[in-house]
Amino acid sequence: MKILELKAEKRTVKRSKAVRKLRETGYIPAVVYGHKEDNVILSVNGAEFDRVLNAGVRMIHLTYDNTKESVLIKDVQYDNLSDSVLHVDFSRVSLDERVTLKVPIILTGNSVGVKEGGVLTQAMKSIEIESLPTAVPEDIKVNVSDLEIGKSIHVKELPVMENIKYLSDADAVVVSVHHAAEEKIVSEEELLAGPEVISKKPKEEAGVSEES
Amino acid sequence: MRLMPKRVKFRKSQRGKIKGNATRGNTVSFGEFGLQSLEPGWITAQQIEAGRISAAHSMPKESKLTIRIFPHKSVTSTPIETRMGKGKGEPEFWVAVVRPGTILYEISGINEEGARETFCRIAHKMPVKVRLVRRRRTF
Repeated sequence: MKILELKAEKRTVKRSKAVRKLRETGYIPAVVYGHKEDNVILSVNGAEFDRVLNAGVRMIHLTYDNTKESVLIKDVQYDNLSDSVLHVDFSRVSLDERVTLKVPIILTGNSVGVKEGGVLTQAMKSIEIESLPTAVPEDIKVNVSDLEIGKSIHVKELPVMENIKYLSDADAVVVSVHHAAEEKIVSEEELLAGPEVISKKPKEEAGVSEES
Repeated sequence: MRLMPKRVKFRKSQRGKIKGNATRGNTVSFGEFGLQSLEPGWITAQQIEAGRISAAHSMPKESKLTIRIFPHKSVTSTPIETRMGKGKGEPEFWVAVVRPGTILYEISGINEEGARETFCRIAHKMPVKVRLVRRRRTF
């Protein structure tokens, strides 16, 4: 796995208003934590961080204030409407210590079952793995070309990779091919009747309560 | 397809106000591409269904469309040529309340070009401005 360099600066501004101004200047607020050391709040250049994200790497050599640390991108917060990065979490790692993280599962090939008219469902889009920081794969490729209708691939059938341990349940389904579900036809009467009202008491019960 | 609740606590509801952006249902969760609303609004059950049908015409067989919204809210109206008063009208149709950022539809098993074409067809049926969004990396 590639390890890229990223420069950061120590940050003094904390409050949301000040952080918003920081974002306007093209910087992204960030934090480094872990390894029983103090948390350090930082700011990283937005364009530089985008370059790192687009390269698909997770491990970074972060440099700030004459300090160089090996960190893992732990979390990235986005603004859902503008797609801009709001905040980044970095987690300190030792290069010889195993880390736990999620890796996306990518399907390759055209399934036999789909050609026969089945529907392919990927139940697991990402999987939790334990590995050395230097051996973290960008993604896990699963070949589905032999997958027939009614068959599925489980976690235990995923490709075995050196220094990587899958932490998810071994019997959990990753991807399956099944028959397309038939659409339920609702009669016009049912549609016109509208939904049932929960609070309405049945007539018999109401009658009993009136008598008593 | 029945796009209305099976059971409700109250048949009629007040109109309400749509404030702010979506804080839930705003990320692509089931597919590779999503259609995101950029405006607040009500999307009727008919419009949701029209979007689904128009998408089905252009989608390849192996792709899958997921509808992320559901019309939970009833809208009432009084019949035409009715005098004022006599209480609230009867439920006429059902709507889904969407905020800017809500993911309306998701699609999987298709390339970006195909997804764009499908979502373009759906967008013509929507009463709000929309855009295509991609699934984000997992961390």
